[in-house]
Amino acid sequence: MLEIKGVKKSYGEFQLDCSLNVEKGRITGLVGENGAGKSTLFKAMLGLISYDGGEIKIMGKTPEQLGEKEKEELGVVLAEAGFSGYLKGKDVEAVLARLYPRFEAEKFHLMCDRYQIPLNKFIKEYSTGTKAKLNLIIALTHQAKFLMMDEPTAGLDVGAREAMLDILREYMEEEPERSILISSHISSDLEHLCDDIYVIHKGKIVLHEEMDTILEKYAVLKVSEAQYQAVDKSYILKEKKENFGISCLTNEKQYYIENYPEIVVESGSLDQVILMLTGGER
Amino acid sequence: MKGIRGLLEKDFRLFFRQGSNLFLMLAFMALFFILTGKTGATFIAMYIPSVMAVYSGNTISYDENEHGYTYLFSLPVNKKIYVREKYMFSFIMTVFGWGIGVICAGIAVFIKPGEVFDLEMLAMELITIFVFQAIAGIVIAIRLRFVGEKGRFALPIAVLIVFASCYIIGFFVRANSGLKESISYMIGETGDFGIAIALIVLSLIVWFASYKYSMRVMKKKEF
Repeated sequence: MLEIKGVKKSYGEFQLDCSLNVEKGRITGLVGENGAGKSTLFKAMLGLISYDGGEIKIMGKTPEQLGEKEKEELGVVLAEAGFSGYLKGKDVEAVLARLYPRFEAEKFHLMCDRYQIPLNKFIKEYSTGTKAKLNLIIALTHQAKFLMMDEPTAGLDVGAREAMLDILREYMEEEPERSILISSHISSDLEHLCDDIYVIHKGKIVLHEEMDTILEKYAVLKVSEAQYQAVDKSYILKEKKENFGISCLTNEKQYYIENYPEIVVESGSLDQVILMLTGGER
Repeated sequence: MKGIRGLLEKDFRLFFRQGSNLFLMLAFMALFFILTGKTGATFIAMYIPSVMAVYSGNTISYDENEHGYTYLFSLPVNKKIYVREKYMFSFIMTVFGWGIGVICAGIAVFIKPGEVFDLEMLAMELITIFVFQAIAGIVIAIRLRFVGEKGRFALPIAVLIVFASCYIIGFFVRANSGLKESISYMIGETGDFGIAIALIVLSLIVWFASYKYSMRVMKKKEF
């Protein structure tokens, strides 16, 4: 669905250098702190900015080759971007009906009712959460094959975030061939949604792993200085000095549990893995 | 074409939500001018489409706000489609404004004794459609070239430059009686029809140049 090979883009000191793939039928997450390069990557994918090198293919086409037909197959949500606030919700519906031949007006209404979106109000009067929900509904109501969502949960409270993730799960269940690329700086949003995860840090992909693998095989070892000297470091990816000693990120949790029963092994959450990858050394 | 239809729908809805007040104000002002006899029917017929030409170009500012461009170009719309739609929208709006202007002029003739708005004047008014297209094209090009606050200042500055140039040229012509005479002679020789054709051709050239320039500016833009 999406293939990015060594895409490069420079903004002053910031340098993006990424490779990434999204397969059919999968939900791929892109996690990274604010300013890591997520939005830049999305903009490059959509042809909103040029890039200095590498290759991007969406459904077999480069961003420049994406015509009206190809874009009809995409459902895009971009952080803090949407239709003009001077339009009402019902105006957006009329515009979408013109733009997308497969626009599902009934579904649009049903979803707006379900998520309490007032179609008679101006968008500028919506709360951040309502705007985010409207943008998601827009992306979901024209039978898009590929959803590209940059920080769709930004500004939402926990309840609204959960509701949004449920909508995405339902969307994937409707048609297994669909794919989603979703970015967030809140890793817990993606932990229970994605099939695989890319972690981006300072413009570079520092990890690509299946979500199940992260949860099953990754862990943080909490060791003292003495334990650190004794432990086999072959499977340690990153380490970080702490008050108690050293935290070590491994992708072979079982090996350390079996061979070093005295070591504290904390099963890896995505948050922990990211913190170690972006803040650790090695 | 779907992209253009969608953008047109958006701009018309923005106009009816936001610009309709401006349009009502224009109509009231036109009526005020008619009733008070401050101005003639011809001026009224030209006044409304000229404001519509400027307004239609200014809808770009709605698209700039709050990362609007970024969002619009994630929809089935590209830069070419966007520019084409802006020119199409301004054409529809100016023709619409022109029609309303002519109706207002008709009202003026009907209620004001001595006011004339004959077929010859209507023909001249038809020519102004081309002039207003050129003006709308320039407004679009300026709004695309200068983003945000700069765009808001660039337009009045451009208008000021045009007026200042006209004033200087006029002053220079008036001061030079020989030049004034030869221009009058040239106009007399050319005739109304010739002048009308020249005006149409000049407007089309300006309109086309502004369209090409707008396309170039848009092509270079990154969001």
